Amino acid sequence: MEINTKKERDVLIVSVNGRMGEVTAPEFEERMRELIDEGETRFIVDLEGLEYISSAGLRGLLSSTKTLREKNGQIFLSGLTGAVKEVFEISQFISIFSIFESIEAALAEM
Amino acid sequence: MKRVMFGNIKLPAKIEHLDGILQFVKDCARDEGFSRQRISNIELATEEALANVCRYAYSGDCGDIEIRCRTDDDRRLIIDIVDAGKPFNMLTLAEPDLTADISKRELGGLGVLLIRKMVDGIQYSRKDNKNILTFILSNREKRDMSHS
Repeated sequence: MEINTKKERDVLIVSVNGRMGEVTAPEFEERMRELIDEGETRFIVDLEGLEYISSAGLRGLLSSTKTLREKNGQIFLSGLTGAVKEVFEISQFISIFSIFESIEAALAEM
Repeated sequence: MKRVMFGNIKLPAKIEHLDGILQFVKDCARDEGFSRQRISNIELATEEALANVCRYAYSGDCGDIEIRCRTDDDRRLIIDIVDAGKPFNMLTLAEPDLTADISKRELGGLGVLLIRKMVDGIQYSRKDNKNILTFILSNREKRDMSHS
């Protein structure tokens, strides 16, 4: 898994590439925790480069979102495709997250 | 006579071995000509089952996990996931509440939900003090992918 961050206005764009499963999800959670501790509160997590997600990955996203909510933060997701989108649909995570087609579309709503 | 494939792998039930086991299962499916999408489905179902064994089966003690892959006469892939941990049948878990709000959303049962959507058949048996979870997968894409 590769995580890249980029600041756009006051929004932090976190791009996750590769795989987010049992082995790699804790890495994502840890990185998000660091960013939240550094004071970031507005996130777009872009999953366009993500090829694979399991329930461990969903758990990582959910726990980061809950932490952020306690700090009145905001998280949008973007770029879900293929197998990743399918897992979001099956788990109904599609209805509990704010999901956008692209980073640009998410930014416009932030 | 149709060709029947067999293969197995046995490793300690630790998260660090998970990728190696998944690679073995993916190789079996690829050798049998499974599509990329079905291999991805197989990988997800297997990871969910393996993660359960690594987390809960041995309650912190050491133990092994064994994966047996074979094909049946219909060229379906049969995967047995075997552990000698405490008896546990994940098929008895209640379906998670998929309508809960984000703050109340729990993740128990999500793994088994994903497994059910990925595989064509699933069985559990307890034999010789071992849990045996069996997946049956055809190379055809499952049509019913959305939750209903």
